[in-house]
Amino acid sequence: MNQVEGQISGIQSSDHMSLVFLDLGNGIEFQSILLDTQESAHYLQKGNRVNILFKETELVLSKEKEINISLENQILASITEIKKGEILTRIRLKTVIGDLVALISTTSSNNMSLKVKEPILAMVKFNEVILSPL
Amino acid sequence: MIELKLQKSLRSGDQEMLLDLDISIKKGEFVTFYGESGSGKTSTLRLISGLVEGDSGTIFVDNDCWWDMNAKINLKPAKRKIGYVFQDYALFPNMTAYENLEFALPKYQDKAIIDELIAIMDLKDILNLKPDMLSGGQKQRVALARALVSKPKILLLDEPLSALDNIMRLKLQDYLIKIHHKYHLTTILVSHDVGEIIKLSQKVFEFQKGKIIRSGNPKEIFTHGKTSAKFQFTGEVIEIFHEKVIGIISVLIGQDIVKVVCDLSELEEFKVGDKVMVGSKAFNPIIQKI
Repeated sequence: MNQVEGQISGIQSSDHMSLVFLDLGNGIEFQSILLDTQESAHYLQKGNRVNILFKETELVLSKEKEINISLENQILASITEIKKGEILTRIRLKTVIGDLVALISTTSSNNMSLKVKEPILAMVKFNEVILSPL
Repeated sequence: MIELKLQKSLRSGDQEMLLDLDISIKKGEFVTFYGESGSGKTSTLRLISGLVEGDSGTIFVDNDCWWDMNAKINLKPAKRKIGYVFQDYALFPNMTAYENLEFALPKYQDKAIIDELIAIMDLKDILNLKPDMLSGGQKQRVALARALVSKPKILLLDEPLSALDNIMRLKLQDYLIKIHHKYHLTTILVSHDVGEIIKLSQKVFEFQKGKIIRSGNPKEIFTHGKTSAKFQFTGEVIEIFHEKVIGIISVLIGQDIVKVVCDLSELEEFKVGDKVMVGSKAFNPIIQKI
């Protein structure tokens, strides 16, 4: 699982749900949607630090940097390692918020002809991001 | 409220250990003692029940003094209103299930309690059988009923379910919940099964070398700080596969086996037998009527 630290920079809640804005440093902002509110989860306070967790399989990679797409969390990365399996390929990424790992299909990896040192855009949808209070 | 403040030096194997406790358990609470073997859990149950005495300290229950070393107060085990259930059932082998229950009835007490327990614990069909004719689960149901015949206020359960298979265990857990509420008991369970502890108890005390190192809500203790994941279960690792670029971990949760994909870098953290938390967001699972 990918794990980075961040700070809660804003919270927008309805009756049972919250959209949490996260500052990961270096100008990177993430969003996470939770079935929690400030009443049900006390750690949901502006300024609190949290761990931000998401699975390797939930990362989407794109060679184009400017795309109009419904993936809320985006970060520029450079590929540091490619490990190919028959079906899945494991890609290590270096970003300003730390190293990440993406698992994509080997077909996609081949079609995109991904190479080490290549710049890439990594994205993860807001409903795939888990928060864990520090 | 049970208030234990006591010390007792114990022998565990060839090691000398000081059991040093200062704990209180609220009336009506279901708590679990958890921790490695020889850390003092069973000894604490024996101290509460009066089977052994501490070296110094006091035991108060609902503000009544049960034991005070200095004041030389020591309430007899029979007067402590305690039900005690052991892992090995401890039924009388020469008596039928019914006779085992009857034997536990204090003099002049109404027999109605026996009939009530027979109904609650579903013992009707096995009343005339002796223990060697009963399955493990049946024996433990009789042992539980027997512990309740004298209408105790406190129920002590020393790994009562650990000799049972998984399905029987889950059934017996439901009986434990039922009797705990029905008889307004304060229940203390010794258990190593994290799933069982989370299902049954409101509070867990973790023992290590005679001391309590942590206590609190079981879910929070065992999941090491919460995550926002709403689809969360605890279980035990039963198999680990290394599949080229990923790891696959099989986890037994209750009677079900689930599989979780993990990254290679996480694989070495886990071994078979580990207790784990499996979590996912509430947005991921699908739901269908069956």
